[in-house]
Amino acid sequence: MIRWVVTSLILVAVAGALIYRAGGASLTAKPVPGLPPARIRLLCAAGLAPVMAELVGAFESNVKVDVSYKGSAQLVAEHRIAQSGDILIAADTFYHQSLIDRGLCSPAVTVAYQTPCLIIADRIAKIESPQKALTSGKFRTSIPKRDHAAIGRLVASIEGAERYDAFARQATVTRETVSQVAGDVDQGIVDIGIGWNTTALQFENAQSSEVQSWQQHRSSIGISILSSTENEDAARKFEQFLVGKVASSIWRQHGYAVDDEASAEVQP
Amino acid sequence: MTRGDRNFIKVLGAVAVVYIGLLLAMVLANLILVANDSASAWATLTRAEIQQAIFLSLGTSLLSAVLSVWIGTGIAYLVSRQQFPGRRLVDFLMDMPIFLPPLVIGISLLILFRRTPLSMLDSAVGIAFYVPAIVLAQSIVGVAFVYRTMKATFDTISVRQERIAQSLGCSRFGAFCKVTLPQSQQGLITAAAIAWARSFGEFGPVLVFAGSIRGRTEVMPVSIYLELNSGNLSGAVIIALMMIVIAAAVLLVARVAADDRRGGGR
Repeated sequence: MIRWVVTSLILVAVAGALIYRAGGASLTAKPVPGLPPARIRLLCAAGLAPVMAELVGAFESNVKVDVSYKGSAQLVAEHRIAQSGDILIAADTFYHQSLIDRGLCSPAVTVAYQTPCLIIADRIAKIESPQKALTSGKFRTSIPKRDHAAIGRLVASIEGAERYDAFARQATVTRETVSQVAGDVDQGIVDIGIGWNTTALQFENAQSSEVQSWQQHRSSIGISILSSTENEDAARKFEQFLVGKVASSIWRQHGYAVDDEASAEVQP
Repeated sequence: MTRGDRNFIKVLGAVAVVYIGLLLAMVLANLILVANDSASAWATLTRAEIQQAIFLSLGTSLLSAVLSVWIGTGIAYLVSRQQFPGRRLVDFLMDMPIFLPPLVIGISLLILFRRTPLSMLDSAVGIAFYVPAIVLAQSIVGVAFVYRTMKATFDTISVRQERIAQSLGCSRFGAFCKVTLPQSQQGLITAAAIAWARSFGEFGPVLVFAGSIRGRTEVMPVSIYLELNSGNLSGAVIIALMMIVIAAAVLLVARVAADDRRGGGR
């Protein structure tokens, strides 16, 4: 028995050392509100991970930004339970609305836009008729679920629910996130998927193909301060940074559209 | 051996070859993918947040395994040896983390620590979305596996020897330490190895309850999820390969230790 107790204590000490090595005291310490340097937690759509990593890296401040990446719908659903965190950035301002309605976050400020398109494998020649390609059965397709992914909801509103459901019925696979769709195309699992123009840029073996009738319909990426924030000043500071010049340039480098109105537009 | 016996063994052998072949083919496919994009894969491993995730995974899974062994073994011994009302219910409840979908465990923990009076504890200490959440999510599942393994172990050990020890003046605790525990060492090592492996690969509950916060609660399975979402397939695969190597090494050591115990007991 003593041997088991000693072994356990040694293992706990080793575990403690490994956890400390991973990130030091910051891993376990709860931030103390109001004390510099401030620390904020950003709930961010997983598809925005590459651009957000660069934006957080460029944010020169005493504010440390911890980013939690998940699908937008999951972030919102979990926030309704947890009510913890400082800022929400979802793939579309639509997701903010259910939290705004419950008084859980401030109105969304649009920071960038992305456009729906077809994501096609490099080996596929240009698609002449996108809608036909999605239903002809000639290509293997990956379609985002319209109830789960912002892109699915947007394209279904453009094409009509019935037609979108026809795309889904004909699809080789339907997915919850646009990253999964792009991953399918990138890995050669399918030939065509529906995604954002910005997502295609993240994947080496995939490219975006514009769909004329979808070009007018952009998705607005919004930022909201959560009412659970314990560091509102720090959160506002990061919000201001995201709509500033340096951030705009980074958004553009990753294929997002940023216009002058973006920083001023406030959703209801 | 009759012809029928030989055919029976051949069928079993074929099933084993197909299954193990499939597992090895999966690893090989990963290796080929990484080899084709080795520069990007290695670059992923050198990133600070991935190295943090490796250390955090090792630390939290080790801590969870230790906690799981102590808690699971205690409950297993109680249920195996003691008759009490609700014993069957306890036995059933201990299987809950095994049959529940992992996401349900994560959501349930989140509700428990954020929407009930326990949220006061969470506010004071910082559990949800911090390292304690990882350990708690991993341990909840780990305990169930330790319980199942240890209960089977205790059930095979005769109660008679414990009774003899008690009749010779040992307390119940003394009989457990001096008679039962030495005989169950192999089971304990197996249980600890299973608990560790399960904790090391835990994803669903950790993602929901601890969040997927880069540099804070990012463990290796979460890194794979985040790299896949960023389009870094080779990065995700090399982290997966690293998990396979680490898990294989730890389980091999546990296997050797368990075999030594069995050899020593002969």
